[in-house]
Amino acid sequence: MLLEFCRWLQYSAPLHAMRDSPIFFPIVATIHLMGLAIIGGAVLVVDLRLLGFGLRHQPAAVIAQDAERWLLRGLAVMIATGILLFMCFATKYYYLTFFWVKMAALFVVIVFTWSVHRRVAMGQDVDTRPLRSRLVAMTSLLLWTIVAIGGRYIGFP
Amino acid sequence: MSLFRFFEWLGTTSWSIELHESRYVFLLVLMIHVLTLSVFVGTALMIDLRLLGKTMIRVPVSQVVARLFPWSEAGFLVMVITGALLFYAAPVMRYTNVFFRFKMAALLLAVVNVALFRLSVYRRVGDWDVDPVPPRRVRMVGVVSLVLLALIITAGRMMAYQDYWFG
Amino acid sequence: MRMTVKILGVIAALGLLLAAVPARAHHSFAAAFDENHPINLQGTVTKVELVNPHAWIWIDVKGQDGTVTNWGIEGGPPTNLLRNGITKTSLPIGTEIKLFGYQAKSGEPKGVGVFVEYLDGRKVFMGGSAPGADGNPTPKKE
Repeated sequence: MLLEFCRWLQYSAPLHAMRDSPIFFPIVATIHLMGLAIIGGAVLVVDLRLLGFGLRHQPAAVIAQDAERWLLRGLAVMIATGILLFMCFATKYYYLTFFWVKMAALFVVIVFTWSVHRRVAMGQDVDTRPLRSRLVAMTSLLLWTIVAIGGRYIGFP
Repeated sequence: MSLFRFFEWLGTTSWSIELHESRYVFLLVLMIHVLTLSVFVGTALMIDLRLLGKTMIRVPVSQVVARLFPWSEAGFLVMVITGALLFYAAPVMRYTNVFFRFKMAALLLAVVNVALFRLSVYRRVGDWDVDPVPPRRVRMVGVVSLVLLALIITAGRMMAYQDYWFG
Repeated sequence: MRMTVKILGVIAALGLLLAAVPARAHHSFAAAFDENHPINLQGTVTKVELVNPHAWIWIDVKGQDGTVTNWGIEGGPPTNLLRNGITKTSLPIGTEIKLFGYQAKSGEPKGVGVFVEYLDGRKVFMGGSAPGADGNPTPKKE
């Protein structure tokens, strides 16, 4: 059933015309990478702070507040381009284990970021409960890294 | 000996061939190179956004620069090392790749942009350190940096399509 | 929200700008292959490049009129071919093999390979960008 949907997505007429252009994929892939940079910066600025590095003289909540807006923008770019990329190779990705690993990890990290991570980063106890802050930051970085590595595995031919 | 001849010879060295034909190493180096852009460009991006007054406007610019720039430098180092390895795997192919040359030019300009900023405008940071939106001169540096970083990413990704555009 | 729209707008403009760059070359990398032009080749191996990120197999194909064309077929990275059983020594120069894949959009004698077929019938998938190169069934387009 899902395979049928992937086949339809990959080969339906209007989308296929877009795909047929040889420059479509490279350009979308490039923009996908720019999204990676945005997410990278937004995530690092907060998690470095939680770990006691980076902007450690600033209140964590202030950093987290500003970074959240950019994380959302970065995600918007990556998800939009990600969907377009998927449409180019939907049936191939359907069979790729790492694609599903990445999707699962992405779901988990989004849930984690907007629940536990957010509560800790925007709370008052970042510096008074350093162990908790570091744990949350390391979990966040680990999850994002899994998403990123999964993405590269998909990218390999 | 010309540069081209040197790179030709470099490509015949055993380690270059091994890297080019490797089962895992090349792909691992490539993965690290691509993913580390999230650190190198990511942190540079946050600094540039501060220069533009688009993020962390309550944080002094000097703090953002002093505390984040070292991380961008660390990312940059990893990218240069992995990049050198990727180059070494097929020196002539890279050297003759138009997008590679463009990427290196953009990279050089990006470094020069940062150096000039630090040596001139940034010297007076005390004047506008706590301004939410820094003066125009400063914002221009941010814009130039962002554009160059975008071009670097684009050129890097397009290297795989050299044959299509310039074959 | 408005900023996000602005950003997506800038990026869309960038994308359009990139797309506007004229394709000066009439040659096309095999990465721009045509799914409507499957190719069935049979010929003798002239070169095997087991390199990253894409391996290449080159064969001399004799046309019906006797002319010999050297075709280059792209596969996945060495790790994929090695996993499927192709090593540097599996296809010595002069070996007669068959290749199935899709031709480059430019019409050059190049393409992306789906599988290598030995004359005894054994098929080895080339793992690359071609549909089906991973060995999975490819649902046909309508």
